[in-house]
Amino acid sequence: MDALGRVYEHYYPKILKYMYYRSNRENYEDLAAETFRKVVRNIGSQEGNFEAWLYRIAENTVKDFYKSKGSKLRLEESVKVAGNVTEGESGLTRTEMKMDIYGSLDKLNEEKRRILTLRFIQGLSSEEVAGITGKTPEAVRIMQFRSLIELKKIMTEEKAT
Amino acid sequence: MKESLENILDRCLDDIARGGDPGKILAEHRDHPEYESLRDALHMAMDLKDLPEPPVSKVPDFSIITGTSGKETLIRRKTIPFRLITRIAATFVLVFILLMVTVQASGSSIPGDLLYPVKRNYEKIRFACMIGYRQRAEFKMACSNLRLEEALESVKKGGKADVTLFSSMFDDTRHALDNAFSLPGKERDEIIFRTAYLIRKQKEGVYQVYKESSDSDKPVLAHYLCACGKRDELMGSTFGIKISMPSDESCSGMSECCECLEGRECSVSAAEIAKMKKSILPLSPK
Repeated sequence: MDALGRVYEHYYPKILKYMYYRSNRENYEDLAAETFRKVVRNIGSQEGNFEAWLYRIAENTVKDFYKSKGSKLRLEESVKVAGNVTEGESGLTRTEMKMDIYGSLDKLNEEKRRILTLRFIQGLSSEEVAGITGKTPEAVRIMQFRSLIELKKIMTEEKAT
Repeated sequence: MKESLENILDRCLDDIARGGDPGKILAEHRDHPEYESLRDALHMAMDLKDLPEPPVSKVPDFSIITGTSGKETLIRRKTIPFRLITRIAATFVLVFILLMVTVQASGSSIPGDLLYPVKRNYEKIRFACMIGYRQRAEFKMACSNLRLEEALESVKKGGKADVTLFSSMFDDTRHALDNAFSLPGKERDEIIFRTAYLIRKQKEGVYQVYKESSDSDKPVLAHYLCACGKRDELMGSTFGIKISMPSDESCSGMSECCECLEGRECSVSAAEIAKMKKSILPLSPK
């Protein structure tokens, strides 16, 4: 297997997860595959940090997908998560709690969702996120904090209603 | 200088990522004035980190990405929803049924009826779809006969005789003959004979319309009657076919041309007759 094949093996699960939490949960496999097609097509022009370049391609693929759909897709439409259903302390099942986060995450704006997805779901550092988004690490830290507080607020409000 | 809350959170997250105990790490900042915000943000971040992996149906082979494998298509083709297909199919079926019902209903229409144009256009479509010379010739004979019946029906219903029907009738007969000439010997002779019979029948039919029409319409109809007579004569002189009908005995005007018809002069010019001799062409009033 060539170097690009190894890169694909390493990054495909990560990009798949990124797409799952950035898109409408239905087309994430197609979007992940499309991202790698773009990578193969444009690998010759790649410069600088490969991972940052890859995530930028992934983000553009998501944006193109939204554009082709004409409007932003709401995640709640397709929140059907399979998983172990265990009783939590709050009385909510684990799946129900996750569904809360999915729905609330979708209510954040695109930029905040992107930061949270990269930082926590993808597990990248603030510096790496800064490299992908073109912001300073300090700006990323400020935005991640605000986004988390906003997410918590949305979830609290939703529970109250 | 006091460290910002955003930086504290980031540091806490890094410590947790390195394997630190979240409870202990958070407890270090219990005295911070915005401790609750820090705690909420940290819990939220941990919940996000804890989100499950997406379900994966199948990891596509890298060769598909690079396009070296023709076995699979990476991007699944967007399938047209079944409901949409059903709707389209149902619409087509409905339109087809409506069309067929309309065509069927137009079968007995006569000029002036709402559905008459449907009938004529359907005939054109049917003719365009026909391939064989014999099939086309027979169809044109049927159409020609139909025009005569329509003219008779119109007059019977008290309407004015539509002379354009006679023009169409002549045209259809001519087309029938044109196609007949492309057929092999025996078949050609059969169609020509049947066309001769049709022309003779048309002469009689036009004469009937002439008799039943008003005086004001008679001059125009006389022209078509004369044309019918000439066509009948030409069929006889060209192909040697002479069709006799019972009406020949009751009306002297029917046996030859209509020159003797009620003292009128034949309005078919010599030039038109010459033209007819080349081919059995439709005539129009001068």
